Amino acid sequence: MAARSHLRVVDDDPSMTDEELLVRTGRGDVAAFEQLFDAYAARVHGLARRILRDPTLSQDATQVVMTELWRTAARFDPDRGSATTWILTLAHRRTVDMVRREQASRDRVDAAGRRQVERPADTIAEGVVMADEHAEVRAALDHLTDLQREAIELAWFDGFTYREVAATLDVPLGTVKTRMRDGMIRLRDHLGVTT
Amino acid sequence: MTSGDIHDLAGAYALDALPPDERAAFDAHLDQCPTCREEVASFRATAARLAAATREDPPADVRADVMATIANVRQAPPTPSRTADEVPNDVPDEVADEVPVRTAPTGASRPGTASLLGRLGLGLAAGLLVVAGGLGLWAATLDSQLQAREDQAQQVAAVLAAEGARTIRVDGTTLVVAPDEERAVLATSDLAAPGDGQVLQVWVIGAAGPVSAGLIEDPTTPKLLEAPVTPGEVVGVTVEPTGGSPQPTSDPIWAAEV
Repeated sequence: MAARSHLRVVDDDPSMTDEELLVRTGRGDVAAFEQLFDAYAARVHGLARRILRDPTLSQDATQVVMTELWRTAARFDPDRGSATTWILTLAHRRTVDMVRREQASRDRVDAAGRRQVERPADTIAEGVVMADEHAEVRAALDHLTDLQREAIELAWFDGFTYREVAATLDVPLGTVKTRMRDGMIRLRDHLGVTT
Repeated sequence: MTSGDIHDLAGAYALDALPPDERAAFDAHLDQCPTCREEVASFRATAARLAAATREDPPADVRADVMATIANVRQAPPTPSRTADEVPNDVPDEVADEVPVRTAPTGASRPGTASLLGRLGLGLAAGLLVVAGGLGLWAATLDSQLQAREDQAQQVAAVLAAEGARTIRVDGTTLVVAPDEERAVLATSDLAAPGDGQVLQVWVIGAAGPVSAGLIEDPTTPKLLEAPVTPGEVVGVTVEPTGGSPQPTSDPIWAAEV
């Protein structure tokens, strides 16, 4: 499983890994960047849609992330992690920065509280999902306790801080911190992630 | 906070669930804790798998827009630790398309801003950020390796550089507001340091009451407010118990109208 994300090859040039494409992008190779764009745009945009929800903002976020990917690609060090992790870490952080700028946190906690009531607890990604990868992630999430899963989903898919998660779920801050960590350990192990 | 406590933040850190002040504190911890570094790396790879399960193609014109944009974006060098003067135009993406040298439109002149941006080029990541001039003198040590702090510094720089940024100075503490972006940066170096078990907390007080804009962990570092500001609202600072409060529990020790 891990090998797939680490060694994903691009259709146009089966000999080149994402890591090589990202290194080349860092040297100003526009063609390599275009291949990365095509490989990652759907994931970057899907994540933005999930977090921001608003189509226009999500489009903006995708542009910001992809432009930032171009700008900072030379800082990617293939010895320190995969291209997939690097790109999606960048995408998540930039998107979360946007959502925290867009709305006062209290409004979002209120909105999340309403969503918690309205939506079934086990829906993620709301119809913008790749079936096979979703199934893997879904299965791994099923190994978490409810609190671990909710804490991780609110942070990752809604862009909440752990304080907002604590307020939304009405549990102590310390509990949220430990559940996030314990949940990530369990997810990591069930997904077979290695670094 | 004991070291046992801070290890627990690895999950929240990897999920981008820490507010900027705690993220910076954990960054500092990561410098010294190989165990946490390894754990964070594995959590990031795990979180990336979560993202990989959420796909939606962007509209077709996004690709063309990005390709057109990058033609005008200077790439950052591999090592962000070289002197900033070598790459003076590496400004944050928010202002990348604009000339980063502007004059202060209102109020006190801000002679530090233009030179700040020059140094911020890569100085954002380069280690030492010095804001001098009308804003007073701040120094913030920025870790060159860790993007988290760079992000915040970039946003601080973006506010300082924003067209129409206003400087509001009360009792030696300065608020810089970027009205178009609803963002603001507060420099509180002249405020009294809080006592043990206390922390300074920033609030944006509008018609609906106070909204927390985050904690000031380090009063010598410019604070990017974590809540949007609107003209007519008031920005205030209170002393709160460590960890902050959902609502202010004391009278402001500093306040200014935006």
